[in-house]
Amino acid sequence: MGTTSLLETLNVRVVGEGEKYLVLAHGFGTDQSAWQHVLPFFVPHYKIILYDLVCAGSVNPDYFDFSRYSTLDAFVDDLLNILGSLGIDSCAYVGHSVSAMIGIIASIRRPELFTKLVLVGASPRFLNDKYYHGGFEEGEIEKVFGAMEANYKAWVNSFAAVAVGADVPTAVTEYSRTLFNMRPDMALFVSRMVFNSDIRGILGMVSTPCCIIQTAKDVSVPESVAEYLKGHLGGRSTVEIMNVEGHLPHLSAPLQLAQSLRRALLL
Amino acid sequence: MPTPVSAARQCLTPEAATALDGAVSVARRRSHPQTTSLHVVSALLSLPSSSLLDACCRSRNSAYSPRLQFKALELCLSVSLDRVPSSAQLPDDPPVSNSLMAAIKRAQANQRRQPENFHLYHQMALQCSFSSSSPATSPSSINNMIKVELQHLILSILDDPVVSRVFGEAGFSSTEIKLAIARPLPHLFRYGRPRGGAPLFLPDGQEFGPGGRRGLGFNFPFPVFSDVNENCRRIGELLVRSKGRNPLLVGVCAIDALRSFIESVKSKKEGCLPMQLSGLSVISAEDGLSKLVAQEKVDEARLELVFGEVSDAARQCSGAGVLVDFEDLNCFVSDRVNSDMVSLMVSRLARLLEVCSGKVWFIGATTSYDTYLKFLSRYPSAEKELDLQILPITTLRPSAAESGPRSSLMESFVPFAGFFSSLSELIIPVSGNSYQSVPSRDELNKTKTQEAISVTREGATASVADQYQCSLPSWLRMAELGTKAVCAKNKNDGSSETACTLQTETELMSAKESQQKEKSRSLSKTDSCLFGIGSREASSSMSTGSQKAMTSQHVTESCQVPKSQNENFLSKHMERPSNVEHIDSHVLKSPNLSWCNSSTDDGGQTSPASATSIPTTSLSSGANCASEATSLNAPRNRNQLVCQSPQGSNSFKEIIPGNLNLPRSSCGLSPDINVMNFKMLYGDLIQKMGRQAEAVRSICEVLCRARRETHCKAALRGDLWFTFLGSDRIGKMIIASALSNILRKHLIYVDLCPRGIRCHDVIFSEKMKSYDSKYRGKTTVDVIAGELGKNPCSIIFLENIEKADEQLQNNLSQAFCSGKFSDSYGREVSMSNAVVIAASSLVRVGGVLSVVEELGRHSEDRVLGSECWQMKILVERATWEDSVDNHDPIPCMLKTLANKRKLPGASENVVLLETSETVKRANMNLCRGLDLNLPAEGDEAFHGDDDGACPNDTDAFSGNLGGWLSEFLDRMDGEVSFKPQDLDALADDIFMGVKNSFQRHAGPGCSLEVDSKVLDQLLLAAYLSNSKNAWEEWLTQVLDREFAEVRNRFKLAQGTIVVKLLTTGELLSEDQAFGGHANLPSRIIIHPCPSLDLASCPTS
Repeated sequence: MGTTSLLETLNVRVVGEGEKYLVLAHGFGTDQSAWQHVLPFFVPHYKIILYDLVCAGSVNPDYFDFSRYSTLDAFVDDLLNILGSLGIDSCAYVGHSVSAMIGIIASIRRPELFTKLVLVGASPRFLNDKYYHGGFEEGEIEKVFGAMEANYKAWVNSFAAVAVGADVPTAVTEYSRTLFNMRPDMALFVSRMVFNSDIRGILGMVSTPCCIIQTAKDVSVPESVAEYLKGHLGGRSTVEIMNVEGHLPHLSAPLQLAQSLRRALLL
Repeated sequence: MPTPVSAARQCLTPEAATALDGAVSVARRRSHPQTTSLHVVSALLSLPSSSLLDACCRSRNSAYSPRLQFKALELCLSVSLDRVPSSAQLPDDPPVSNSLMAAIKRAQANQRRQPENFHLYHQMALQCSFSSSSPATSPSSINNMIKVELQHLILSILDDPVVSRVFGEAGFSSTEIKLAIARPLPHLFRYGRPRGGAPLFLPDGQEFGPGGRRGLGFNFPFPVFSDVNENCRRIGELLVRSKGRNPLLVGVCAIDALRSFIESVKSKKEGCLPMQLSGLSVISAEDGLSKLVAQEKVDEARLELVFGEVSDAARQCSGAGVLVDFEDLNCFVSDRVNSDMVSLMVSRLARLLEVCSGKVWFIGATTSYDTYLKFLSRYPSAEKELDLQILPITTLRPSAAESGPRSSLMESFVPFAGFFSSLSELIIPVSGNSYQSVPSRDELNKTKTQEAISVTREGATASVADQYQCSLPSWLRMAELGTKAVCAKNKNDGSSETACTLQTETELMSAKESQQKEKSRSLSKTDSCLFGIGSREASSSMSTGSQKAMTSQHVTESCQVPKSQNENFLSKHMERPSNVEHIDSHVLKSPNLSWCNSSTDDGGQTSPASATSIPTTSLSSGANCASEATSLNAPRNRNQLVCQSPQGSNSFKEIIPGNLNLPRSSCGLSPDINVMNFKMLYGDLIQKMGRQAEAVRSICEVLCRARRETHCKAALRGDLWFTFLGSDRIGKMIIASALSNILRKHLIYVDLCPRGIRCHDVIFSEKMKSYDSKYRGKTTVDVIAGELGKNPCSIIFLENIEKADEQLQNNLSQAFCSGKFSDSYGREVSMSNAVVIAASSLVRVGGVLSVVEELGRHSEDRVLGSECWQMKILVERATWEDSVDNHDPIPCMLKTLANKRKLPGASENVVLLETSETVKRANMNLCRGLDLNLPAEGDEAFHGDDDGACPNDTDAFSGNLGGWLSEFLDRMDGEVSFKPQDLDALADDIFMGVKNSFQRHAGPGCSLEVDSKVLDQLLLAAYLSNSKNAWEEWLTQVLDREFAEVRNRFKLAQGTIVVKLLTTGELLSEDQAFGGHANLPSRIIIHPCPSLDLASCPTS
C-alpha cells in the first residue's frame, strides 16, 4: 500500500482555487463532511486539503491499527504523510479538537511545514490536574467510557446534544450521524487515547504562530484552557472567543466560524 | 489481465494450491468469469478443518452465539458472491483475478521477509546466482521461487477490502482473524515463538521491493507480537540512529513513558527494542548523580567513580551496550544543584560518549520543554555534546492495553515503513532546524560578498563593505550595494572622488556605530539607495546636487564636512583658513548645507539672513516654498533658496552623514536630534533667531530630552508637543521655521484667529490668499488633517491656540493621547512624525495662564500689522505753527501732529506723526488685551471698519482660558516662554538712527516729521531680522542717500523747511524692495511741495 492508497484510504481531497494550502482537519466523532458549511468561504482563496482521521466512520475500519494508533503520534504520521505525498511544503492548518493536538505535534516535528495553526476547540489535556483545569475529572470520564461501552447508540445521542451545545438540531443530527458511524470499539479506543494524551509539556516547542478559537461555552474545553494554550505555546499566539456555544462551531455556527477563521488566517 | 490458474498455482504450496482449486471450482460453479479472493474465502470456509474457520472461531465476538455469527458470515459471503457479475461464457477455469494475484504476491513478499525464512531464501538466492551465473538475484526472481503457504495466503487475502468488508458485516474483525491465524494458540506464541538468528534485519530498503512501500503499515507484516507501546517503539527507534541517538523525552507523561520503557528493556520484553539493541543493559544513574550534583562541593572523585562504573559496564557488557538512565532532567536544573558539578558532569558524559562510542546511550525525561530550555541555557553545549534528541511524548499510557484487541500485526512493518518516514520527520525539526537555515545564510553571505566585491572593485573599499554587510539582512545588503554602485559611478565620472570617499567614510562610521542604531541606519541606507537607483534622475541630482553645493560655496571642505565630526580631517582640508572657524562652526551646527551656503555667500557677513528660513514656512509644500522664499529674499540669495526646496534638501540629505544615519521613513525628530547634540542645535537655532536665547535653550533641551528618554511617549511615537507662550510672535515663527529646516519637516502654519492680527500677512501674504481660496468652507480641523495627510512629517504651528474651537480642541486632545489626528469626518491621520507647536500670546504667571498687557507704545500687534508701504519724503515750508518751536537753539525738533506725544530721547525737530488710524489700532489692541468680557457686538462696534478684529475672539478666548487650554497645555512635552521684546527701545534706536541720518544733511531750522507708519515699518524690518543689520543698512544705504538728495535739491540748510517722511499709501511691489528686506523700499519718492519747489529748488 503506497502513498496513493494512503490518500485513498483517508479520503484525501484537495479543493479550491487559491494559491496557498489550507488543511482542514476534523475532530473526534466527525469526518471531513463537518467542514462542508465552512468550506465555501475558503474555496476561492485557498487550496484546501480535507482528509479523514483514520478513526473516522468514513474510513475502512480495517486500516485502524489498534496498536499503532495508541498515541497521537501515529495520527501525526498520517497527517505528515498526506502532506508529504501531496508534495506540500507550506500550509496553514486548521484543526478541531483532537486534530488541534495533532496539528501542534506536527508543527513541532515539521515547523517549516506550517505557516499557521488555527486551533478550534483545542485542549492540551482534558483531565484536571492539581494546577490545571482541563474540564474533566478522571472518575467522570471513566463513567463516560462505561456508558460508551454499554450502549454506544444511546451515548451517541446524548453526547451529541451536549457537545453541540447550541440549539441547532441539524448540527446535533449531523454530529450524531458521524459519531455513530465510528465503530464503537474504535471510538472508545480513540477517546481513551485522547484523554490519556497530555501535550502540555511540549507546547513550548511550537514555533508556528497559533490562533486559538474557542466558543464562549464548550463542554469539552473550559475557557481557561485557551488562556493556558496562549500562555504556553512557544510561538506567537492569539485567542479568539467566539460568541456562540458548543464544541462544534463548524456545525452549529459555520458562518461565524468562517469569519473567525478568515481573521485568524489573515493575522 | 487475469492470471491463468496454472501460473498462480506455481506460486503456491500444495496446501494453498488446493485452496485455490477449491476457489476456482466455486467460481466455476457460480459461472463467474474470474476467481477472486471471495471465492478463496468461500472455499476455505467450506473446508471442514481450515485454519480460517478456526481463527474465526477464536476471534469472534462473544456477544453473539457462534452458530448465529457463522450463519451471518455465510449469508454475507454469499450475498457478496452473488453481486459478482456472472458471465454466460464458461471458460474451463476462471482465471485468477488481479486482486487475488496481488494478494498472492503480497504473501510471497511477506513470507520472504519473515526472519524464519530469511536464511533459507538468502541461500536460495545465492545458489541461484551461483548456479545460473545470471544476475537474477532480484527480489522478484526470488519471489518466484517462494511457494506461498496457506497461512500467508489467508492473511494476505484478509487484507483485501472486499473480504474484510464481508467479515466486518458479519461482525468479525479481519484484524482479529489475522491475529488469530498468526497466533495459533496464545500460550504457544508466548513461549514457543522461534527467535530469529542474529542480525535478521538488513538495512532499510532491501526489504522493500522496487515499490518501496512506505506510508501506513498495512502490508502484511511478519508477526512480532508484543504489547509494547508506541512510546517504547519510538524510543527504541531513536536509539539505533547514528546521530541524535540519546533520547530526551519531553511531555507531561514523559517520565512515566521513560519508566515503562526502562522496565520493558529490563524485563527484555519482546519488540520494545530493535534487534540491534538486544541485550541492552540499563544503568540508573539518577540516584547517584542527583546526590552528587546536590552537593555543595565539587566532588570529582565520586563523579569519576560513577563514570568508571558506567564505562566498565559498557566495556564488559555482552549485549548492544549500556543505557544510562537519568530519569528526570529536573534534578539538574533545580536551584539546589551545584551548577559547576553539573557542567563537569556534562563534560564527563560527553567524554564517556566519545570513549565508548556506540556502546553508551543516555536517556532522560522532562515534564516540560521549559525545563529543557532551562537546562540548555545553563549548559548550552549539552545538547550537542550529549547528542540529545528531543522526543515529544504525548500520551500517558497507550490505551492498547485497555481496550480492543492487542493485535500487533501491523507493528512489525512499521520499522520499515511508517517508522522510517516518521524518523526522518523527527530529525528535521530539531537538528535540521539549524542546519537547514544556516547553510542558506552562508550561501547568501557568500553571494553577497561576491557581489559586493564585484561592485566595490570600482573604487569603494571592499573590506569595509564586507565587514558591514555581514551584519545586515540580505535585502539591506542589496540596498547597500546599490548605494555603492552609485558611489562607484560617481567615481567613474571622475569628478566627485570625494563623494566616494565620503561614502566610505560614512560606512566606516556607521560600522562603528552600535548595533542598535544599525537598523535605522541601514534603513536610511536603503533609502539613499532607492534614491540612487530607483530613478536615474534622482541619483544624478544627488551627485550633481552635492557638486553644485561644493562649487557654489567655493569651499571644497564643505563637501568633506559631512565626513565631519572628525575634526582633524575637516581642518586638514580647509582651503580658506580665514573662514575656517566660521564655516566649521556653522557646518557642524547645522546639517543643512543650504543654510551654510548662505553664510558663505554673504562673504563673512555676520547676518546669515534669518529671513531666508522664514519663507520655507507655508501651508503647502515644496515649490511654493521656494517661490515664496524668493519673494522675500534678495535675488542674491536665490541660489540657496533652490537648495531649500525639498528636492534640493533631499539631495543634500544623501551626502550628509548625519542624514545617512536617519531612517527617513520614520523620520521623526529623533534621528536628527540624535545626530546633532544640544550645542549644535542651540547654535543653529540661535543663529537664526538672534534673540530669545532662553527660549531657544529650553526648546533644545526638550528636543534632546525627547530623544534620550526612550520610555517617553515621543520616543515611541515620534510626535512632539510644544507650547510657545509669550508675545514674541515673530520669534516663535522664526523658531518654528528654523526647526522645520533643521528637522526637515514641512511647516503648517495655522492661525486660529484667521481674521485677527494680520501678522501673517507680512510673511505669508501669498500663502494666505491661496489659503483663503483653497480652504474656504473647510474647518480648521480638516485643513490641518488635509495638510498632515499630504505631508506627515510636519510641524504644525497653531497660532493663537487659545482660540481653538471646540472641535479642534477635542481632536487635539485625542491626537495627543492616540497619536492620530482625525478630521471632521473621523478619518485619522498619523501624527507620529509631527511636531505640534501651540503658540499663544498668553503667559504663565505663577503657573496660571494669563493675558499679558502690552504697555509699551509699540505693541507687537501694531508692528506686525504694519504694511509694506512705499515711502515718500514731503518737503514743505514750515508753517507758522511749526516754526513756533523753531526758536529753540536745538537744530532738530520733535513734533507729533496727531496726538502731540513726545518721544523720549528724540530730538526736538524730528517729529513722529501718528495717524489716527494707528492710534486707533493701538487702542483696539489694548482693549482687546484688557477687556475680556467685552461683548462681541461692542467689540465690533468699537473697531468700526477695522477688519483686523475678530468678532468673537474675546469670547472664545476667555472661555478657553480655563478648562481645556490649561489642561491641554499642561500635558505638552515642553513649554517655552518667549520674553516680550522691548519694541520701544528698538523703536527709539531706530528713531535715533533716522534722526542722526537727517541731522547729517539738514541744517538748523529744518525739521523732520516721521510718520509712525514708517517707524512701524522699520520696526517690523528690525523685528523680522535677527540682527540690527536690516534697518541700519537701510538707513545708511537708502535713507541717507535720499536725505542727501533732498539736501541737494532744497538746500536744507536754509531752515524753515519741514521734511516729512511718510508712507504713500501704495504697497511696495517686489522690485521696489530693498535688498534682503522685503518690507523696506529701495528708494523713497521725494515730493517737493509746489510752493517750495518754485521758490527754493534751483535744480528742478
